[in-house]
Amino acid sequence: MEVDVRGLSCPEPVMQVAAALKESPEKVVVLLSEAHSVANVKNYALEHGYRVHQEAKGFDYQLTIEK
Amino acid sequence: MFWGVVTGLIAAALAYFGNPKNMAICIACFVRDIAGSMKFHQAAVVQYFRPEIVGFVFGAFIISLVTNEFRSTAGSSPMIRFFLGMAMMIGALVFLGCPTRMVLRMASGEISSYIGLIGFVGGVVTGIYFLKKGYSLGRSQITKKASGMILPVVFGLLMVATLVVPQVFAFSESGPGSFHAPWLISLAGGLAIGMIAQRIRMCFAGGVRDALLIKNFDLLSILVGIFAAMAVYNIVMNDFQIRMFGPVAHAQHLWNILGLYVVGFASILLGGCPLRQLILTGQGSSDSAVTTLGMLMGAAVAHNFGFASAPAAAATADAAAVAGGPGTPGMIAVIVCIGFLFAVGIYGTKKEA
Repeated sequence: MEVDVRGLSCPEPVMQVAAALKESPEKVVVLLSEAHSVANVKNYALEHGYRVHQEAKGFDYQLTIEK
Repeated sequence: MFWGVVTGLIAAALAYFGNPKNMAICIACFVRDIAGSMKFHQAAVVQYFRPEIVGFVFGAFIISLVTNEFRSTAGSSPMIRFFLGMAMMIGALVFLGCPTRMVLRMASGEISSYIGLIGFVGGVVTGIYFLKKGYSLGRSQITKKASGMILPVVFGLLMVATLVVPQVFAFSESGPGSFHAPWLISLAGGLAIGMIAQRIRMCFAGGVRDALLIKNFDLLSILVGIFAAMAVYNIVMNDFQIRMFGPVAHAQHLWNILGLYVVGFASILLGGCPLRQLILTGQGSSDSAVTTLGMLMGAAVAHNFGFASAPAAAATADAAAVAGGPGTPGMIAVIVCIGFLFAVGIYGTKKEA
């Protein structure tokens, strides 16, 4: 499942990722535009026992969240 | 927690070097003082161009450029944010302080600030209710780099102007505006806090929000750190005292609660408290820059139309005790702000094609 949270204010990115992980608990790919959202989403995923892989996508960030 | 303690120590140092003790780094107070120094309002006791505010914005600006986190963005309902910024400031000036000062006042033993905390948390909870219903002001987009840089640069130029042509600015000769640390110390303290706040995503509303919404206590622990450092400083300096209110504060419970209710609610609708808005301005958000200008306007409006509360004062040999708090215009303004916030909350949950 893919989620695009670019340009959203806090805490919408974390909330959308949390909702996506409920729907698709195995794997969620997140596209983000702000470094602080990256930190927030990453923390959330790690705290909930997921592995997180981060890469740059041009000016944006992509997080792959997996069990 | 560690960086919260460091921030608290910087705030304590600024108070030690001359800032009003229980304001130290209050965002609402200092934006209000800047509005006064630029003669946007005429309250003679609260006029001083606070270098701390410039430091917060510029510190975040510098660090975000260095770490490549600077993003010039805009377009998430800027004019709604402008008015949310105004409402946030009006609420803060009825309580007499933003969430930062609430924590500083709590650390000096003021019961009125703990009562205000009830309202602040209530406002955050109300905001969370709308977030859970899908509230959003829409996405921001990448925009011209200059759009994100212009307000940090203008703050920097204004800072230079206060040093080169101080005669065009107003400076309080008495009252809270006349208490300040030397400008270089203020600026340095502001820069340091701006950098720290950007790195650790410090946010007073976010601390309460994350704890309640996603059971994450990272941001809240920062606030506990600030509280602890300031409390220890106050105890050491013999300024800690359990009392209803300290200097430049009042104990009108209902209005302390409702004032901070507005601030907490508006902060959640904006995605961050007054401090956070300054930091996001520094890292390139034009939406937050517009919010910052809204706060400046809110401060001017609050004093020009008598919305801001009067501080309480104990009786002296020449004067009777003053209860302080908002006058009728301030009470009406708070009610109007609450109505406006609910309207924004409801509007923001509506899906648009």
